Amino acid sequence: MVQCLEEIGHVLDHLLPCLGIKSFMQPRRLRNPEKVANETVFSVSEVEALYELFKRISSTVIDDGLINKEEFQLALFKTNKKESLFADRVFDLFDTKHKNALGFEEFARALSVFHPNAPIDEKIDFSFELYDLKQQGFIERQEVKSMVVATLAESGMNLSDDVIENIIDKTFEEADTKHDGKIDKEEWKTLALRHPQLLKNMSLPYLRDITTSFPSFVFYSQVEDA
Amino acid sequence: MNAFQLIAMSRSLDLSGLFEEEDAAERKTRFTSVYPAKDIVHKIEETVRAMGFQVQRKNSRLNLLHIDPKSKGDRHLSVAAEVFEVNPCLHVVELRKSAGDIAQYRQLCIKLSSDLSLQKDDNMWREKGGITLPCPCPCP
Repeated sequence: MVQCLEEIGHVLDHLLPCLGIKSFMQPRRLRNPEKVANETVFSVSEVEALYELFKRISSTVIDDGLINKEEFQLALFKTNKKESLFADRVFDLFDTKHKNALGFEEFARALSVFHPNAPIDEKIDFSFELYDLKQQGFIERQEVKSMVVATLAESGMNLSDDVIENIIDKTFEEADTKHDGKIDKEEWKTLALRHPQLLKNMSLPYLRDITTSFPSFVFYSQVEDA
Repeated sequence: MNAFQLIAMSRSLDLSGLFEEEDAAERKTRFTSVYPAKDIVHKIEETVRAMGFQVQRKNSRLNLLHIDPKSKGDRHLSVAAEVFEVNPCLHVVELRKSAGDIAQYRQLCIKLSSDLSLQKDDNMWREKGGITLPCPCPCP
């Protein structure tokens, strides 16, 4: 029965275009989830579940099989009106092909870094690039200040400039071991390994349960997980 | 507190929004408090117990659970409370709803933030409900 449905699916995929019926919607299921599974920490069924999430997000504004910046913001913040220093940076880091739109592979590869089981080095690298706002290969004091101010502003927390400067001073004292006023990749790595809570936002426990949150129906699954 | 620890708390960097129905702004609340950490924790425990919550302390975190005997398991309100030190005079309290009714959660946040986040006054001593707070450092 299951095989029968799969075959019907295959047939329709070939038949519809022949009938001149072009599907403007993205494929209902992935052709090759194993490829994505091999490049990420996800299992095949997790990749399929992730694809369900991807389909949902990528069709909210334009149903074109890609997540554009607006759809990304909508998914994250439930509003497309939010200007954010960070949202732009996160999107740019996901957008490895620089097309201003995310395909499924880019989406999955980026989210792989956020899986609780992903290697910590990947999280360290991703977060460094995230905070290196001007992409200069190091994190400057001014960038840190902008980020602290942006973070405080979004929750309406009021800290005086003195307190903020003090926090940043202490951070650089500890992190900037070369005393050059910047935090480079090496210094960031040392800091993050010493204070794992700094990488707290680099892990999403939701990714562990993704197959239950986004079930992709059994008859689409191509492989039985061992 | 490390600047990056503060930055890591940013809602814009919290990708869990991709998986959540509600906006992160609705599920997470942060406010500052000039009470010492111990007093904050004590005050939270006292307040929520009076509201019928169970409290479980885990390292620097409090897990608050409100069981509504009339409703099923997944409607119980479950909130995590964490206290972070900015400096000895200033702490950030973060409340995060992990399950349950958003309206109930909001009520809890309003109560706790109004109890705990005081305005600093001119002299260095603050009193509320019998707890006297000396300020050990030159506070801004």
